[in-house]
Amino acid sequence: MTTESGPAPITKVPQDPGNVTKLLIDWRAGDRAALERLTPIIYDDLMRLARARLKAESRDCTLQPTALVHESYLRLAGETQLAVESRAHFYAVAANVMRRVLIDYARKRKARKRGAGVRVTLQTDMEVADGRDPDSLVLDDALQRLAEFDARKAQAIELKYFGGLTTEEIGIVLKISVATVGRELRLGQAWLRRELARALA
Amino acid sequence: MNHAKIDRWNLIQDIFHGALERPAAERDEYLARACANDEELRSEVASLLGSDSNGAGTLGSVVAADLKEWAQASSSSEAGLRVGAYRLVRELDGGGMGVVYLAVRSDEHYFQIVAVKMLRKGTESAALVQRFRTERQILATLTHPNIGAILDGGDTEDGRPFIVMEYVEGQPITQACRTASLSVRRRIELFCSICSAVHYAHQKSVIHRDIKPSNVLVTPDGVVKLIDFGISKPLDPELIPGDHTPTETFQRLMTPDYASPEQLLGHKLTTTTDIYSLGVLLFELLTDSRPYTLRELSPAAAERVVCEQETRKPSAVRGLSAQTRRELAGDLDRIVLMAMDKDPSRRYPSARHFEEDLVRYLQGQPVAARKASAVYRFSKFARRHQTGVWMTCAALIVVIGAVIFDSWRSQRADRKVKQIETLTDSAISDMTEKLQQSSTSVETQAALFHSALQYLDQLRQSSGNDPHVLLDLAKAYERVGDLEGSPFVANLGNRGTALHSYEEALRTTLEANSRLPGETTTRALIEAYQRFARMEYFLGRFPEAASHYEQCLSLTRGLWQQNPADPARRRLLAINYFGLGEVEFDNLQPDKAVKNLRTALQVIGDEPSGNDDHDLSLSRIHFRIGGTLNELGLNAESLEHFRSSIGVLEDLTRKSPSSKQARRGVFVVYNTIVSILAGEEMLNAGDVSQARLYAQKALTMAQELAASDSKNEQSRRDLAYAYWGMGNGFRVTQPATAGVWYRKSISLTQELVPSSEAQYFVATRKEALAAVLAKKEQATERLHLLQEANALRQQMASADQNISARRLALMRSYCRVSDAELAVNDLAKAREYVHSSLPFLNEFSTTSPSLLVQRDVALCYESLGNVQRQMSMSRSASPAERKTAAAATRQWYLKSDAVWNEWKRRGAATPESENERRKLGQLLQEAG
Repeated sequence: MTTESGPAPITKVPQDPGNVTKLLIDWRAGDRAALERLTPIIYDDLMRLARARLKAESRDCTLQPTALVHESYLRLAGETQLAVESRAHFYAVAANVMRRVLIDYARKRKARKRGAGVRVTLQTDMEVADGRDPDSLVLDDALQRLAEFDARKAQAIELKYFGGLTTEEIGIVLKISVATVGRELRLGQAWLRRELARALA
Repeated sequence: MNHAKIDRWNLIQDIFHGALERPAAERDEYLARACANDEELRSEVASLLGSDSNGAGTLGSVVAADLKEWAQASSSSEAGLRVGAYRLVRELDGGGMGVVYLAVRSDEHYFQIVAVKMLRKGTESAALVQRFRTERQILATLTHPNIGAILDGGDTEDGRPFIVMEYVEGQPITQACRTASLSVRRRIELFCSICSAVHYAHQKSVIHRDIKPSNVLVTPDGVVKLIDFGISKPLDPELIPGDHTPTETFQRLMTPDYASPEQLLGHKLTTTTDIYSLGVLLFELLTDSRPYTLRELSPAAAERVVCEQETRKPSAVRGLSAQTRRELAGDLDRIVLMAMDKDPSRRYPSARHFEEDLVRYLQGQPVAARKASAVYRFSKFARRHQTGVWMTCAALIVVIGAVIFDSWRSQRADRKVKQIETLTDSAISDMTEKLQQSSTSVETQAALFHSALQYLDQLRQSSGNDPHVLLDLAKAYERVGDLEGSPFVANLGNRGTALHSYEEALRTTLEANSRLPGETTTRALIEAYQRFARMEYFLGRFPEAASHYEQCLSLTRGLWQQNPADPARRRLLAINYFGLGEVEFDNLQPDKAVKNLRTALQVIGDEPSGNDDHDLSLSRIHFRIGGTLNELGLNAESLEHFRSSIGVLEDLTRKSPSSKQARRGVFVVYNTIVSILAGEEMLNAGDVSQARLYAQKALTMAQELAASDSKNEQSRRDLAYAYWGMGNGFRVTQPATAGVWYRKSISLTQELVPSSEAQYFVATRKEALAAVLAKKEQATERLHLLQEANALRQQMASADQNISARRLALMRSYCRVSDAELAVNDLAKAREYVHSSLPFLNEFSTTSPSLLVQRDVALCYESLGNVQRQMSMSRSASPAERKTAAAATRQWYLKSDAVWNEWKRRGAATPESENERRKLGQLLQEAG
């Protein structure tokens, strides 16, 4: 699984959705088309889950990709008892979808140039200039740059933040040890953070 | 990216991680060292380290924030938005992608309240938008007094098309009818106007797709209006990406109660989908309740209910007044159910047909809605119920149905056929109703079978003398018998009625045969006899079974002689001999059995053929011969046959690894071999190490089976059996270990469903355990075990007086308890028990061909001797009494000894029997 040069927008509707398990298997066997077909299924699902959660919880709740992705997994593939490996790969695809979704949305929002900004609560040790809140677009941009010279770290970051995968699961997807995952994430995060800070300065 | 950069990055990584491995205080120093003079490198790593702390939180919150916003954006209401000349006020209805708002137009010219429908923000895709536009065009052309009018249309600022509709104020029709307490007629009349509206739309190729009470409003003026025709309905499969599993679809729906089967299954929608929903609406209008309530159900359950479960009739709804029920029953029921047929092609072809049928009803004319044929209804119903009992009953009813189709197709006069069809139809309907009451209690089953048999009896009466018909009828009886005796329905009561069915089958076949002698009827007769005899065998009626097998034998032999090479005829003959042999074996007549079994083997040929049925039969024959030879004292030969049996079975399992029958067969044979080698007291060959090998093999098999299917009763029974086998392997040489295994077996057996088989196992295993508890301190436990076993044996013997083997076991049981009582010094009790064994000695003697019988009788003699011996030493007896007792002791022991000597003479002695003989020799010496 590689990060392509710029995630594709999600507008296409598949003619023949096929079944989730089969698509996962196909994709893992190298069929890129399967990923294309999986994407809208997962997209649709994630969206509905997100909305449902929002409705169910208070206005101030935080939505984490992890919960959504897990729930989506359970709904779409849960019954077919996929192996741990396959589950990790599902999450990987979902993470990718999640990323594209958010970037898509961020782009649209930017295009509309709406005045009403989005409040982002950041950790206090990070100063933010007004009107230049970091958002998924900025993050995505930085991730793409990271991918240019270290694809693996970029992947690991995507899996963790957009998919909520655990270190073990990331290890399964990227075929590296848990310890290596830890190191990759640590440096990757540090690098990104620095980039975000610079981008907003 | 070039190598230099890669190298540099790798360097940065190494230093970064290296620094983190060191305590904070040392980091600067390490950094300086590692970077040598490369200031750029050092500052790079330093800045990264600076960003290291808590990098996670920032990134996470960025994503979370956007996620939330995205979710909100796709779900938020757009109230307040200006859409064309209107302003959105509030959401009225929103199902997935399309949403309806109440909107207002307020300017100097107009004040108007309308409904605005558009796609939800964020859901628009090119396909959806296009679809919306197209449908808007068409909807604008709909002008009908009962359809909410389209007033206007346009595009929102962000490019979404919208449509402005007449805002219909009113109550849902269901509510309106309820509050006004409208009569059934009036409700139907209202409904008819909806039908014509729907028909009108259909003719313009518009499907509503979402007919439900909230879309069928009655205005304060009493006008019925159908609103919200299908634009971008959530159920249109072409518009939605993703899986169209019923689960998914179900979860999208706001009102699943009205969804048609094809909607749930994601099929293409047609006008008949609207017919279905109309049917549901009518159901609700007539009964004030819905045919299904799916809210609380899981999606899978909902699918089952809508797509498979037969809809109940409107007249069957609870809580209706008697008058309403009368009105609904019959035609109205049929009309509603026709509209709601699960099969779209069986519904009304158009809303107009639907309306017309209702009009006919109102005018008192016959309606077109037909009653679905009983068999059709039932077959739909039956297919889905997979659990054992249902399948049985379902099969039963299909059998009945089949009788009709097979027999009567050609020669019968029309009237007769009609008569019989009516009979079948009503019988089936009757049974279907019984089944639908969902009771699988024994009474319902019994009632069901009773109905079936009654029906068959009636058929037979009206069938006259046609032998072909009689044959078919006999087959039907047999099928019923098969079902009654099947494991799903098995309990002794039903086995008894199975016997009756088989008897009827036999009777009928005999009659057919007498009218049309020949091969067909002869074969049928053989089948009937064999089924009957087999069931008698299962029920322990050995003499009757043997007699029937014998009657059959002449037929099978005759059939075979006509074509001795034909494998099918050979097999029938072999089965006949085999059946007879089995009966004799269980009836403690091993000498007769062995002859018939050997003949069976000869007939079938001692060669596996590769055909599963044939080979299974072959393995069974070998198995039985083995058991018989053991009882005749020919252990070496017996073992050969067991080995042959295993050989065939193992070949079978290799060929079809999934064949449970073959695997179980191997398992049973292993365990039986253990018995022969070391288990069966006195009758075993005394090869303990071999026995243990087999016991271990059997145990492994049982454990595998149990692991893969732990809920299965059979596999747990087998496991208990394997434990017992292990016990047998250690019985003679390591009694303590054997005891452990026996205990395991007993406790597992006791967890199983109680049955007469289980009783037998518990008794046998308790006796086995008792036998290995030889120590003094275990005497009390031994006694209790044997007493418990004795109670069970008494029950079993009285439950079935026919089976001599049970009486034999009971006799032995009395003796065992007697010995155990002696061990705890209770002479009085011992005397009582051993006395109970005496009557049996009239029935069983040492001249029996079965060594099993001889053994038990010999041991019985010994126990009698033991009691007399104790009496001869009793202080409380007079010297005369003691003398008599001493003499009696000798006599009993001598009788017992004679048996073991005879075994020796015949060459049937086994290590254990020799032990026994020596022991007796000792006792006799002591007795003087």
